[in-house]
Amino acid sequence: MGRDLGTAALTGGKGFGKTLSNYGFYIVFVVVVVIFGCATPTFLTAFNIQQLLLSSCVSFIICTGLTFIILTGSLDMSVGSNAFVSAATAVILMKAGVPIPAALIVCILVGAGIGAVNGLMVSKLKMNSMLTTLGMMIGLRGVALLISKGRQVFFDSSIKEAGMFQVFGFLPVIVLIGIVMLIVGQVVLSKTRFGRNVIAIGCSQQAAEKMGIKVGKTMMTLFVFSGICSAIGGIAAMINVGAVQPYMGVGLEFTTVTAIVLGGTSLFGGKGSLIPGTILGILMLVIIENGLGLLGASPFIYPFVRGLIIFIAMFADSIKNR
Amino acid sequence: MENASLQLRNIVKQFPGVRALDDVTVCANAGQSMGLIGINGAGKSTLMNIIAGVLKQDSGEIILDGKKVEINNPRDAEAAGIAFIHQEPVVFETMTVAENMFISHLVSKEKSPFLDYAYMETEARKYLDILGSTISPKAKISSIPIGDRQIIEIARALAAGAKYLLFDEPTSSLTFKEKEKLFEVIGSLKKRGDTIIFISHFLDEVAEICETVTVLRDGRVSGSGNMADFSREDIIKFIIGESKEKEIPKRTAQVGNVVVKAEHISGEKLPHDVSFEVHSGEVLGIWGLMGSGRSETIRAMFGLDARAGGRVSLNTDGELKQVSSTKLLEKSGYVTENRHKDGLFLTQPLWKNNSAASLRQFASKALKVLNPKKEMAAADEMKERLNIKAPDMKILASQLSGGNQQKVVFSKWLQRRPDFFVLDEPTRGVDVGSKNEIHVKVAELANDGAAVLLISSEIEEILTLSDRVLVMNKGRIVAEVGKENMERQNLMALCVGEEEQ
Repeated sequence: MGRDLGTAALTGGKGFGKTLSNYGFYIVFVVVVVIFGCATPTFLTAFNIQQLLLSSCVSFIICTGLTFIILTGSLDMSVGSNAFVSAATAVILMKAGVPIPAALIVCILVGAGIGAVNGLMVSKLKMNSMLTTLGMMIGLRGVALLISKGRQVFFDSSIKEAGMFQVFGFLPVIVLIGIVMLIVGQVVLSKTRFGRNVIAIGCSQQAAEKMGIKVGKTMMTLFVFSGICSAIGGIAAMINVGAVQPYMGVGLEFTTVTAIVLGGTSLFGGKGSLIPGTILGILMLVIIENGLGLLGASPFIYPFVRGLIIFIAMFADSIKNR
Repeated sequence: MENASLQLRNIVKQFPGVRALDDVTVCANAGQSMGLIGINGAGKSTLMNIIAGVLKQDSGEIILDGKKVEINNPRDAEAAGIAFIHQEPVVFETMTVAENMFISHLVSKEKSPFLDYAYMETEARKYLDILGSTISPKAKISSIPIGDRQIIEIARALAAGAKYLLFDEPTSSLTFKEKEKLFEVIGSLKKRGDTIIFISHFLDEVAEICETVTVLRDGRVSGSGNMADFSREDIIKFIIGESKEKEIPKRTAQVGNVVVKAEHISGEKLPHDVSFEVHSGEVLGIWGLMGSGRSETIRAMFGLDARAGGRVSLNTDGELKQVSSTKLLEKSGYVTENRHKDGLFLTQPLWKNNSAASLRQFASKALKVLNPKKEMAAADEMKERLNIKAPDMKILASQLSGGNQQKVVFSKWLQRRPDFFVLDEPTRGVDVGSKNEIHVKVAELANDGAAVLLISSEIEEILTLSDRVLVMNKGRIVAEVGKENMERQNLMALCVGEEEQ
């Protein structure tokens, strides 16, 4: 379309298609919940909802950092491997007799360190974020397998008890942490100068530079933050599963990115939210698998459905950016 | 009129809420060029998009050489011999000239899957020759200066059999010499008997190369006829209606302290050892041809291009102190050359664009929490102050016309209230009305004590606004001209380096 359609554009852009792409996801979300709620008696029970939240909490935590990265138009593909490495480090330290709080702090530092390396490569060396962090993802998995010797590692049950403690008799601590992180993230994004600068970088990095926004420093901060979120996510995953397994975090980068884009954050940056966007995106993915399970669908169908959802998310993204 | 080669009759196009074209009739003759003028939003782009097949008219007909044609998509337009030469040439940088020219209908060798480069290169040569260009068909686009790329686009149109050529602001990114060359090319197209439609904001250009003219205002034809029958004033009246241009305030020229001092700035290629001072209350113009290093000087000053040497000092609390690039950017208002690329956040609402460069003003002390109400109020105030024509400040920047977008770029920097402004082509691609308003604003800024550095390829703009002009050639400052010697001829002569001989 032409560069400007003059005043026509002032009033345009309010068509049905636009409304659908803006609110369509929420409608679909409600419809899916209603369908599963009617089709299975167990779907809307407190127990099942708790299970849903437990399945989502790792993504809640990791997506808090990752959504910010995607909002700038970059990607961090190393989140899953980072979670694995950080959690493995923590467990091995605990086994070696390091006190639990210290082990957890080291775990978070490892995550932050990995994030810092990503950040350096992307912001200082101007390397492409997707492939750089993809390399990091592959490399870190090897490191994690090395330090865990490719075996399942168990840990002291006291952390599990703490992590699973049910606040208000319903919400497990790790879920609460995830939700709180998303809320704080959203407040930072929509209410603060930092958040606005992140959006600015996502809209036009060049324009942001010309305002004196420290683009490199911001990117660095975001990658370190994403690393920290990955490490916390790793701890949550290990508490949830009860052990650190060699397959921990495999494919997590794809599920998280899908959830974020499904929630309406643009892969090109500059547009999106953690709440309601990302949180609903995550829940949608988890609900569909959970619902299919309750309906008794074959587990082999899950990857197919997951693939389908990725297509739908990308299609919605492309419509919005047309 | 009846024998015009390209006729658009009674074209109507309705967009939601606005009639973009209302019964527009336009005629252009073979072997001539027709100037199409009007402010942004007058309907030019819509009209062009209809001819080019991007949009479909609601009613009205298109008649080419006496035959009514249906144009439903860009392919139909191309088949009918219509070509659109864009403002910014559309070219594939990593391909050769010949490949670019034949990109939509690459020719293969007979009975072979391989491309016939020899044929394409000979053909390309033929059309480049018609246009009097010496560019090699084998040259990579990336090695060809921007100005020459337009010639390639024209040659591509000819190779595709175009007879009706629409030029959309073709001169806005050309140097003086390239412009002359383009006009020669248009001359040879006219000799071939082609029909030219020439869209431009520059009345001088239209007067120079167009035989006829059509002016659009608010989606209607406000005037049309032979160029020779109209005076400049007539045309301006057609463009903006009866309302008169505002007078640019007298420069009080109360020159104060040095605000910015650049010393020995050198880039990796351009510029070489450039030093200057900008005083408060002063508009310092930098004049030179494209490629003389004007924009490069600014980019090197701001550290946006690697700097080979030099330093910049900024007046901070009454004292000149050397500053880092980021600090300088933070303390300046920098209207860049290309608002779409790095001037605006197109996908963001106007009020967010307005406060983007000055979020500190709207953020709380400790947690840097923003206050959208304050931001919105500030944006509304700017809307009044700069006469931004938008229903409200909540619409997206991409929804505005060029002139109003540029006003938003200004509002963003005005909101920051810096002491130092850099204006790189502040009115490029902006309609006459908005241009005048921007000029008024710039003069007011300087009168209020700001230091303004102005770069423009429009000599009129430099002459109108500057108190002092630095003339650049080949990356160096070759002369400084005060108000008293500021004349068109003088500046022209200096920038091409006649002085040296």
